Amino acid sequence: MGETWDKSLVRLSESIFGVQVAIGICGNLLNLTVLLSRGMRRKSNNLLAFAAVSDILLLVVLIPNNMSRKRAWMYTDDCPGQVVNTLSQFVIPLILLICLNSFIIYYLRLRRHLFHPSPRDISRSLDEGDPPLLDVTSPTSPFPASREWSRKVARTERHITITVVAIITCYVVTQLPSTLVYAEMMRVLACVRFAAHKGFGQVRLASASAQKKYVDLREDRAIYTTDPINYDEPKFDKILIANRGEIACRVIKTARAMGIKTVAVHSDVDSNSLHVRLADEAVCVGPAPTNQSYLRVDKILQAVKDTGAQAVHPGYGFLSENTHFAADLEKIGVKFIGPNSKAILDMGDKINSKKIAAAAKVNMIPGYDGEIADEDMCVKVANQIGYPVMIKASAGGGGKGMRIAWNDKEAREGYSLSKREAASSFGDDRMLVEKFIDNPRHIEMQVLCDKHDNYLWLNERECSIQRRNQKVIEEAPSSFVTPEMRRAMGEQSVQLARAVGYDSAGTVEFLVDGKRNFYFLEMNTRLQVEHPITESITGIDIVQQMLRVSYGHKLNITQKDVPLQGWAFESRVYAEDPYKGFGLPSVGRLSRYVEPTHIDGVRCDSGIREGSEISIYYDPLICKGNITTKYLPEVYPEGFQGASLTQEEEETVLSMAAALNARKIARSKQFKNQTRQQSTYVDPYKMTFKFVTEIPVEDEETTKIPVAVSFENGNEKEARVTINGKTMSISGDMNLAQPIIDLKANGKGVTTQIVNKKAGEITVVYKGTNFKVKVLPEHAVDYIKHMKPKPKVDLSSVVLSPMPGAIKNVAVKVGDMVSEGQQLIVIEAMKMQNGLHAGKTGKVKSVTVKEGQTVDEGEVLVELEDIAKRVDAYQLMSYGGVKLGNSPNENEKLVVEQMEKLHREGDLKDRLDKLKEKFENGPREEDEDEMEVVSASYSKKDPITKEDITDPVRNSKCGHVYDRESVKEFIDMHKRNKQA
Amino acid sequence: MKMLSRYVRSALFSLPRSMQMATRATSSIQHTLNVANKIEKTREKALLGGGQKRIDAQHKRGKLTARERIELLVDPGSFKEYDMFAEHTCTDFGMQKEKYPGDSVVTGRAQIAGRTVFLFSQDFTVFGGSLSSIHAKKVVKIMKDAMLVGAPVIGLNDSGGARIQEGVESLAGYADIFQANVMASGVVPQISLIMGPCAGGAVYSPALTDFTFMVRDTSYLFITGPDVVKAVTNEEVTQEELGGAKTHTVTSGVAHGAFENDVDALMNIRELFNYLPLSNTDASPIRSCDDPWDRVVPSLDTVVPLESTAAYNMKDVVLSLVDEGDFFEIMPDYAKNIVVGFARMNGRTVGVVGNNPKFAAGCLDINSSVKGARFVRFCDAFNIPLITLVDVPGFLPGTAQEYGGIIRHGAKLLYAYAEATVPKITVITRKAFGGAYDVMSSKHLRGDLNYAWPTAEVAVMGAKGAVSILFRADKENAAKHEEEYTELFSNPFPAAVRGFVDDIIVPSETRRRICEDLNMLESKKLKNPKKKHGNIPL
Repeated sequence: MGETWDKSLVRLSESIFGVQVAIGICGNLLNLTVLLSRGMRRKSNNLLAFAAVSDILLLVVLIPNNMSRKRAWMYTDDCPGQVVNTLSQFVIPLILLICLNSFIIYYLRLRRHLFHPSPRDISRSLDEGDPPLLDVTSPTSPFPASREWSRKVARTERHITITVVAIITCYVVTQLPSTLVYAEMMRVLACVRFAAHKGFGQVRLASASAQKKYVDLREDRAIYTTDPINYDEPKFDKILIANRGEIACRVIKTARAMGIKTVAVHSDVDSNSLHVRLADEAVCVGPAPTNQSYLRVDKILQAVKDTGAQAVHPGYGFLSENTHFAADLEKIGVKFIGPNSKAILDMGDKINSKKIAAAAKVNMIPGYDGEIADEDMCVKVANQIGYPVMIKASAGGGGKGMRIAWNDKEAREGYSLSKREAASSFGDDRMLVEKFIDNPRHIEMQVLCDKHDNYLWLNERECSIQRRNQKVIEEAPSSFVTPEMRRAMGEQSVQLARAVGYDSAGTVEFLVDGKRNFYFLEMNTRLQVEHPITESITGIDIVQQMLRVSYGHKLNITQKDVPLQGWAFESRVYAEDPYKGFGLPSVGRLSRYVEPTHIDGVRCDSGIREGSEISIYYDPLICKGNITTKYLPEVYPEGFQGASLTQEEEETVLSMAAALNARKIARSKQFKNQTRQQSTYVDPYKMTFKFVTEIPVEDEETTKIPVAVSFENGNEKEARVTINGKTMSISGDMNLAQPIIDLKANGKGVTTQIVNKKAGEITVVYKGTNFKVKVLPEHAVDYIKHMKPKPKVDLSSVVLSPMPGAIKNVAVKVGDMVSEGQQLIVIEAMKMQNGLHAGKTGKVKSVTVKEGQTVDEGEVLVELEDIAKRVDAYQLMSYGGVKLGNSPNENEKLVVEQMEKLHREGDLKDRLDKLKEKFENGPREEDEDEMEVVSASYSKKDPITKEDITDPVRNSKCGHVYDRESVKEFIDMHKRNKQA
Repeated sequence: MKMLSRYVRSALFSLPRSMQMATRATSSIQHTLNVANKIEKTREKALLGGGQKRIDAQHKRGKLTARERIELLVDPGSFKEYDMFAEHTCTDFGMQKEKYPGDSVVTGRAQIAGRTVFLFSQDFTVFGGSLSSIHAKKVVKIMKDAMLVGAPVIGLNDSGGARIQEGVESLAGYADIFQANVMASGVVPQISLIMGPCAGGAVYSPALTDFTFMVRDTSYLFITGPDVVKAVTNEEVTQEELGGAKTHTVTSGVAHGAFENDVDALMNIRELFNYLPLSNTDASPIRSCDDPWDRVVPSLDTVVPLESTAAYNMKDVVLSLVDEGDFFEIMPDYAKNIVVGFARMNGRTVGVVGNNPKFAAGCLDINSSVKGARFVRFCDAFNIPLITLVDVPGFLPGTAQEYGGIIRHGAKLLYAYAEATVPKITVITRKAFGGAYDVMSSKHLRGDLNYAWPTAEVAVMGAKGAVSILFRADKENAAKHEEEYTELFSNPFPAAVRGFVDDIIVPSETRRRICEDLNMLESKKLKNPKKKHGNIPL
């Protein structure tokens, strides 16, 4: 009986054990499968796989051995001996196994999450719904102390986890029949490892979410559908990015996703900037001015040597098309991630590139084939080609050093200006002239080539929407290009690329006229600013391909793999003041910055974050917003015609502003600790607020629309607005502190922003435009009409600095006569030169600046002595009966006195007119009233009263006479009139 | 006998009384109607002030009438007028023939955002708003009532000056108002808004109140007008130049702010009023707030430039720190090297004082000390917690300052901070050098919580200055010594190890810390020794 029982017990235990072993093996196999499916390319995955395999082997090899012993032990009663035996045979390997596993887990976590977390891991864990990871190596906190602290926390937590796992394991092992437990343990470990594989970062998440995450490393790689990263491929270990701002961040993101370490270079003012924080290492290469930092080849080469980077990505601008740099890198055995230096040289020079392109049978524009030596030659060539002509720097690009001339004068001026700009921007002042095609389109073709004779074209981008010859909005594909034209352009581009032996990403720019003829313009041998739109429509990560190709790989796509999906456009967001000459650069700190990446299909490439400084030293580009959407003609079959507010939209804006203002007023009544008026307290959300609203337009009479706002059932999220006899419901969280407010206007979603909310005025954003809406209490409508418009200050006699910048050129000195519109000063800011002109004809009274000086916005640079004012002063003197002195000196003194007086009193014309009118029409009732006031106070008496005007000159007109003689004549005339 | 005589007397008296009653009964209806009519008529007349013609003239100047201003200023329908039937008593110069009910001022009480306010508004359409004795009495009456219940007083000034016809009575009236202003000072907040001329003795009433605001281009404040100036000093000057809004907000510091026009000014005064407690016995108001109190402000981490000599705008710090970036700045154009104004932290009104390195490196000079001192004293008088943001390289040196009495004026700010018993929270953002460190609400002046940002440098002076004194003889190694000094002193540690700052905080968490501290300090009890009043170095 006993024996049978024992036997059956043993069988039972064996079968349970068998099941357990099976589960253990299955668990490990599952683990292995998952690893395989995810790609066993990374070292960490290899280790996990190794662990899984070793577990299976142990189970298969060790357990049967143990089992036979165990069975033997069951049939004998030799317990103590067997225990020792079991210990030696089973427990010790078990402990070893646990140690091995623990070590692997420890090592993996250490490696993956402490030393080199890739954005891919992070983005994956984010995709899987985990709370965001804190990336310890990319400092999330600006201060070393807290960085160290978060590292410590992470380390401690790891230790704790492992200790706990070990203790539990030991406990379980000693308490339960060991064999069963062993199988169980294997399974548990398999699961634990699986969890580790999934991203063990969760362990640290508690601390991560406690801290605020500043740098969102998440990068949506979902758009890169055509060329997923192959982790098997050999690649660079470390690259240096010789650029700043958004392009540096862009390159770093792909590099990290590929598992390549990155080195950033930066100037000292950029020490805290985003690209420095994203990179694994950073090297400071000098002070702020670009020619002392980002353009210093020697310092960047030193940085390459110091950090051991194997390749350099130049981004765009700076050194991207500098052949010397590429050659220098080659000398020290470092790869230049871009085309070979010969290709850069060939294509970088516009004259040479044209010759090559012509030879490669690419369509060309009529123009002069060669360098323009001086202004005269420029004019001559321009006349040969026929105006309008484009004068541009041979080394130029990006709109700098480029001018259009419509006549000889402009040709001369443009030539010298462009030449100077080219010299300062590119260090190469050779100039070209070509025909300027009126009403052109700028369409460019992205090409991608490798070192193995593969040449691809990745469809076109249309960049016709430009301002000051600089691209602002780019779209891909162009709505103008037909498939045939696209193919023709693509094939010509590839021909050109082949002709120069091109071996990286590049862009062939074409000028397209209204008849879809396209002409070769130039080839940009670099990654372009607007590359993301091509990426969006093709699903190809151009930066990844550049990195692969420069390592020496073949392109892993062929022309037929290049898709054209959807339509993307890119808008460059610049720090500019749109109300100053349509966009002068404006500098300062970003006090609030939120990217709209929560919207589907939106990609933002930026190199800044909230609190970043936009400085005068660099391009004011803040962000590139990218939207991938349906093809344009699908949405706007007749083409997008621009938009202005319809009546309904205007009502929406006004209602929204009124509702927000009502909420503001209601909230201002919600005191929490003021208890005096309790008995008469009315819930402000049950009141009706009556406003009069208007969107004021300068110098225009605008209609004032009465609006009534009430909150439904006292609910602050449901406003009912009555406007123009209609009712509109504005609902949603009208949180006045949020940067973005999502509302529903009559059920239709509206996203708005409160730009500012002053007393009686609220500025809201509607469809990307700021609307300054006046919202005043209803009864104010009768009163605002009495408010006088403020007189405009006449600034024509001073030249103010329109922006902070450096003075490049001062063309005048004190005492010079200048005529209206004459250029006085050239100021340079953000690499743009701006000429400042005289607002009036006059004599230069003072020049406050020198060449090379930096000035602030609004600083007075040149003051003009206004001759017109001088004449007016004489006139006023004669009106006022002021007798002229006998000597010229005395006269001069009197005139100066009068002028100063005029200067104080502001607008002279007004004053003169008033005086004249007063005299001609006799005193008015209003004046009598005024006299009464005077008697009641000690105040007001005109400096020149009507009593003083004894003998005015009627019907005499004083034109603006500019020379002294005529002034004298004029005054003499007055004197004669007086005497007569 | 006595009884009889009493009876007879009563009979005698009763007879005519009944007869009298009868006669009145016939005329009393008429009389009541007449009175009602007269009341109606008088009211109508009072509402018209000096008549339609004068109202139109007022409008033509771009100014509103006294009543229109009140209507815009207060909650609709809440205005209760006092003394509408009051009339002037002057009989000289034929004045008895020209009377306007209510005379040249409209007084009463009303509510702004549901809270009581007493106000007077001078009516320029009646005798040019000139001040008669009854005018003064009306004003003093509402001021006394305001003090009685503890509610602020707002005065809308638009007056030609004294009523010359009344002579010395008018002057007495001024003095009564001054006395009332002084009595109310520190009891209830007093705000003056100058919306027209205000000359001569009249200027001292606004000067005695807590805040004086002006309307650009239509208001003037001066002791004597341009004519008298010309006669006395032969100086030619315009009204605008002598006492316009620009003069007083930029140069003299008499006015605390200026607004574009009447409507704008009144709307803004409403905003200001909402920040203020009603009286010195009320707590600083807490309003419901949308901005999360624990909002992290990442932009503060980068606001202080890496270069320690580079300037930044302290207003950026203030705006990103406070609720919704709403900051009512006091004296924005005067002594710009110090920023003062009202803001809210988690809905609670606070007074913010900050040195602004953007202007004159943020140093303390005569003007900024006086500006700061007056604001600090106002906050202390009305229980408004003070938040001080320090980036001060010291007091401005030079003969101009010494001759002007920087010692005396600087002492005002020191006095104000030392005297203040309201919650005081201080954040040292960068420099806190020398005596100016002590002055700016330091721990030693009973600062409740003093924080330093990691960029803070608390020292007696900057490295250069210190080295030139310490190592006067050793000029060659100046750079080395400077480095040593910087290493030692140009950081927050020397102050932190001594407990002079309570903590070194991450800038982006400053808002959270301040909000928590304000909650904690709500129950702060601190009293100065009993005294008649201190003797601030005026």
